[in-house]
Amino acid sequence: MTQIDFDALVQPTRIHGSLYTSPSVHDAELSRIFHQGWVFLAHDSEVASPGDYVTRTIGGQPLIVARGRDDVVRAFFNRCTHRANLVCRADAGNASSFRCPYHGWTFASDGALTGVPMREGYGTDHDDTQARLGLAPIAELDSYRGFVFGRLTGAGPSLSDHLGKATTAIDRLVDLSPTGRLDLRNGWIRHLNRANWKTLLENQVDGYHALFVHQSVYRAVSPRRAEYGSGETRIAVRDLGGGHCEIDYTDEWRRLDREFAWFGNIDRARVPRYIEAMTVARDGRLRQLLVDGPPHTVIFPNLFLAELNVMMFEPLAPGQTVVHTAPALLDGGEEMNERILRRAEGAMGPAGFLIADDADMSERNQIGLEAGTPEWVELSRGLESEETDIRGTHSFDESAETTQRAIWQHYRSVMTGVHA
Amino acid sequence: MTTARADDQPRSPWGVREDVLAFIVREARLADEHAYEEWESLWDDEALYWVPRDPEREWRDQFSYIADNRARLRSRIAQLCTGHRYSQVPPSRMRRMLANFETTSATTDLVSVACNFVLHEYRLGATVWAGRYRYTVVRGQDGLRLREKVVELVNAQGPIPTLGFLI
Repeated sequence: MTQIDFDALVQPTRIHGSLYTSPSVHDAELSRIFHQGWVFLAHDSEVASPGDYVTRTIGGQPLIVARGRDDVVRAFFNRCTHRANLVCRADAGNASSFRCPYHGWTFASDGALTGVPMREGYGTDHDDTQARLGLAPIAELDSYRGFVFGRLTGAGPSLSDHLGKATTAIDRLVDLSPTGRLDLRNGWIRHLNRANWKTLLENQVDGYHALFVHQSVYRAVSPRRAEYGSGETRIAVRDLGGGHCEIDYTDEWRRLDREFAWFGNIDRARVPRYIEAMTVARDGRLRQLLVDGPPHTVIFPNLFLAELNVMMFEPLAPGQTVVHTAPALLDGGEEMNERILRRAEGAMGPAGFLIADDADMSERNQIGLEAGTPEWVELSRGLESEETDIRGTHSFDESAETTQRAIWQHYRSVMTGVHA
Repeated sequence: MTTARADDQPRSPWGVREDVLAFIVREARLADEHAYEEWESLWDDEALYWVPRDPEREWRDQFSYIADNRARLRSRIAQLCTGHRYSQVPPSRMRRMLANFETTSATTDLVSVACNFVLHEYRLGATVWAGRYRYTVVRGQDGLRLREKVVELVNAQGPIPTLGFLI
């Protein structure tokens, strides 16, 4: 295998186009980023009770994430330890055990091999075989406020090292629930994009495209919620470090000083029980939380906190990605939830007023990238407007490519082995 | 002895009332041909245009691909009509076939019909969509109106490609 020179291909303000199209780059990414690094796996609420499980594909590998009878959440490779059959085919469910349909091997929800039909075939080795061949767990699993992350193989920094400042974005979302819990059980919409996963990631935190790509929404449906490009807004793009990055509306919403500016400007009176519960739970912070609203933050490499939605990215091939989207329903915020659902349907997914057009742009990108000239993708916008503070490097020019640079500089450090 | 029928509307070979069948076939053609405003004019005020992930669950309780009421349907059409709904620029070339019709319930002014469909879409590439349509058509003073159209995709669990057109 030829060595890919990521230092040469990822430069400070330009990216080589082959990084979006090359199969060998894709394979290296799956290995370095999706197998050896921390990735988002599931949300706690999806496996709320003992026996609950979901299946996922991470870096091309099928996994089961399950809560055992001991209330511990684990992740296993979804592969029978006998002859490699897929153990569980359902997307989600509750089961006391997983039974491989091929030869009937049975595994408990904690992964232990509990049943081998016609065990005498293993002779005196049976007990040893059974003890040895539980479902293979992934290398590491940890969670932060309900978001479950895993590392499939190898070792490296802790989850809290990986998340770094990105925990503030998770806090920002979770704190909107009076119980501090989200509910993602409504499930994921799965959207097949004929585009590279990194293009999709970059687009989520692109403050430049909205005026163009989403002009049909502003013209026909709802006016822009902020005067993009006017120079008067206080919308920041921010590099949080570690590949995590965001568009931060906090200062803009504070400038407007209106509650729920991020949620159709509803009045408190529309959601009285939510306000009551939040008043108790969040005490003096309620007004600020309702002004500031949810995060708009990419958590490298496969999670996007899309305000009141959660998105995860599943790369299939250089030009193919499945995007999963679930509304972030608020535990204890039932009055909010129907509105969250309906807003999610309006904006998100393959038929969404926003995302369908974003998807089309990303697919056009993928076709454009096949052109060999020019070789480079330009990411130099807004360099001079950047400032650095305790939260990272940001720009109040929301069209600055600070966020794309954030993704790529971290990508380079991971792919060259500087950062695990 | 003859049994009185609920109505004396002429019936198609599928057993579906002829005017209802003609209405549904027209709806399909208008969607295929991106006749957005004409298509929208078929709808009743109490509209539900629904593409579920799980047709067994109530639309209210789930995150669907599409669950438009009349207001959101109007917005969807308005967005398409701007000419900047990029997922339909250029618009998909489409033709859909409807078959295996069944009348699932019928009163004098409300008829529910279901059928299978296959839709060939061509845009950046060719895509085949298939599933079951369920319609509820209401007979008002000024003719038939579409109250409900449910699109149960065979691949509703996904992943599905971008769905910018009227399915």
